[in-house]
Amino acid sequence: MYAIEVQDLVKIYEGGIKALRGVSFNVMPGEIFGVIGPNGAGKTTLMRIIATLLKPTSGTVKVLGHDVVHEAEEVRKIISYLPEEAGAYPNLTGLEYLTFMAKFYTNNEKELQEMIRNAARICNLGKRLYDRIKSYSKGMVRRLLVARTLMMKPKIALLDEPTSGLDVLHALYIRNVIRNYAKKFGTTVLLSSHNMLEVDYLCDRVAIINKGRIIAIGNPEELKEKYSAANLEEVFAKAVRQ
Amino acid sequence: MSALRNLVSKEIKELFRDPKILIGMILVSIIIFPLLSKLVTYSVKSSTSLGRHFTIGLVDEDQTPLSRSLREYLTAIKNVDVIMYASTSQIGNLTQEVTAIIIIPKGFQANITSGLRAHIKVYTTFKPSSIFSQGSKGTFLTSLLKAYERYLSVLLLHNVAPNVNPSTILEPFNIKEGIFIKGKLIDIHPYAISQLLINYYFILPYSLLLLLLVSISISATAMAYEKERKTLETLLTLPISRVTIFLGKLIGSIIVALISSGAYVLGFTYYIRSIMNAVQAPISAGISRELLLKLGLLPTKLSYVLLSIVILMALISAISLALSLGAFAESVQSAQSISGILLPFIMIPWFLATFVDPSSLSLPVRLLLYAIPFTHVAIATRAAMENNYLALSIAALYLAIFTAIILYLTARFFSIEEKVLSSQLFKRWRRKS
Ligand SMILES: Nc1ncnc2c1ncn2[C@@H]1O[C@H](COP(=O)(O)OP(=O)(O)OP(=O)(O)O)[C@@H](O)[C@H]1O
Ligand SMILES: [Mg+2]
Repeated sequence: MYAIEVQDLVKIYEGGIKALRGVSFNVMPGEIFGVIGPNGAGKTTLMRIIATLLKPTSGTVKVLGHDVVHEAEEVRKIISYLPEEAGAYPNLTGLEYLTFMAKFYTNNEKELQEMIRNAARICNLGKRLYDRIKSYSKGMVRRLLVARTLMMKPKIALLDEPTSGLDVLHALYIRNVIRNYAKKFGTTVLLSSHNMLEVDYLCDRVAIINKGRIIAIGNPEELKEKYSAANLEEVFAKAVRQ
Repeated sequence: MSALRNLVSKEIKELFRDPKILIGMILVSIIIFPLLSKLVTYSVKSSTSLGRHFTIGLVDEDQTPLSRSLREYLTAIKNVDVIMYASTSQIGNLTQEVTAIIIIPKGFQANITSGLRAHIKVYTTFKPSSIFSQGSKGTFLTSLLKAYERYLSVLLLHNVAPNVNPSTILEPFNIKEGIFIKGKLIDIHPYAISQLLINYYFILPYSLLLLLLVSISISATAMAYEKERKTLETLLTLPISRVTIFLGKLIGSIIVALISSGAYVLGFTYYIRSIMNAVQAPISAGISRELLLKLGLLPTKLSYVLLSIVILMALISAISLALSLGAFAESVQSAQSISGILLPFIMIPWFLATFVDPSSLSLPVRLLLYAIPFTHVAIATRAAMENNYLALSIAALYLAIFTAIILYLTARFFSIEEKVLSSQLFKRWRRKS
């Protein structure tokens, strides 16, 4: 069974904007799958539909066999979603936020502490976890949110630009965390990014989306060969211009 | 269940740590009101207390034995200083501060001895800062002069009829007041009763109105708050049902509203009480709750239970409405103005129902009034005072039905995720294009 199965997905927003015009692809269990594309290509729309936040205009999405429209509650138990533009509750401390989130995934005190330890390791905020979130920088909030997305070792992680706003070192660190999660716990990852280095380093397979359509799909090496490009950036540029 | 508890406790934590709520609602009640009451009590007390000194500027234009006797009378009173002025023209350049100026016009004695009414003019010094004590100053002086008037009457009567006790002529009878209620005669001063009942007739309905308004404003912003902080998307993808999220908001809002309006009401009650005590102290002493209860002037336990049901239903439906309306807003501010739509539906019928006798309204207006669910909270408060169980039950039933419908609609609304998210997405779309 596929981890994520997307078929002929179309999304037309209320204003008539066609964000997705028939997108199909499959993600294997344990795979890290990257979605790249220019601004407005439809990446976030795609993520939101898989995360059960938006309903498709037509087409289907299945997550481990569960339909995202008809079995939304089931799907939410499987996925963990990091929105592109997300925030946290400013009047809670980082630790309180993580505890609040972890409690939705377990009733067991030991498991809870385990999740919080995971999160603390991922976000690497140290003592700042005891401070109110309103005192955090943008990057610190992002790290907290990445940590909360991964702390419960989800079967499927949907990460919309996970390292946006992070400095080089923290971005590197988070990439390693994502890779380890996929390797160690078999977490399936679907991520979008504008950083080709990141995609090249992390992803087993990549889909390039433009104007709501997939224009290229394959593993990074295949794509570089196909477009006779030195790196993914060139692939991206050539694919989009075609 | 534990997910719900988790949501509620987060909601409460967040709200109580929000400086706006903390300062705006709680501190105002527990600091400003007691402070205010201390101030008012102080200024009322200081003006009535016997220890206070009165300085009276006296202008005696009459200069007769009678006018002099008034002056001697005033001078003899403890705490009163009298400063003499030869004429009113001197008053303009007073050096000493006076509490009041008394003028005895020419002809004071002549009028009295010839059987006519004489005049005395009393001018109390007016300062805007002493607005609270203004009345009592005047009252104090008037009572001094009344005593003198009585003394004069006795004197005059004595001259006419030396053998009669003057007080039987001046006050041939006493008045004892009481109340007549439910066929019984009770020796309680009506003023005392109304003073006791003000808690129930004024403070209770007022508190309920406040509670409704506070919970509406808290819950209306609850969803917008999540949108503004960009936490809603995450919340909606957690493994919890939409109904749980909605219930978490509902219960959180109710608890916070109860606490903050409770604090407010406590502060306000304290304020009203202490003012009343300062002004009219011991009249209501000696009237027990038991007596009032026996007279049917207080709600019984059953009335309280029915009233509580009415209040709970009203709270739940008002908050559900506000939550759904507020979900359309993209910012806390616009949520607040959207929830403003609800306010007239609560305030207008409320004031109509508390201040106007519904039976005096024309039939269509009355039906309209009764159709608005929140009217029934006001009606129920009144019915509880009169222990009118039928009216209370009707109100409870009507609100229960209304609440059930609202809850059903809201739960459905919240299970259609795109509606809840739509305005946020709409905003994104506008910004991008
Ligand atoms: N709520 C909405 N209503 C209408 N149109 C929308 C809405 N959200 C997005 N769109 C439109 O849908 C298209 C795809 O947007 P989407 O956010 O999915 O792009 P993206 O690939 O994530 O872009 P970026 O790289 O900038 O994040 C865009 O044309 C956008 O304007
Ligand atoms: Mg995007």
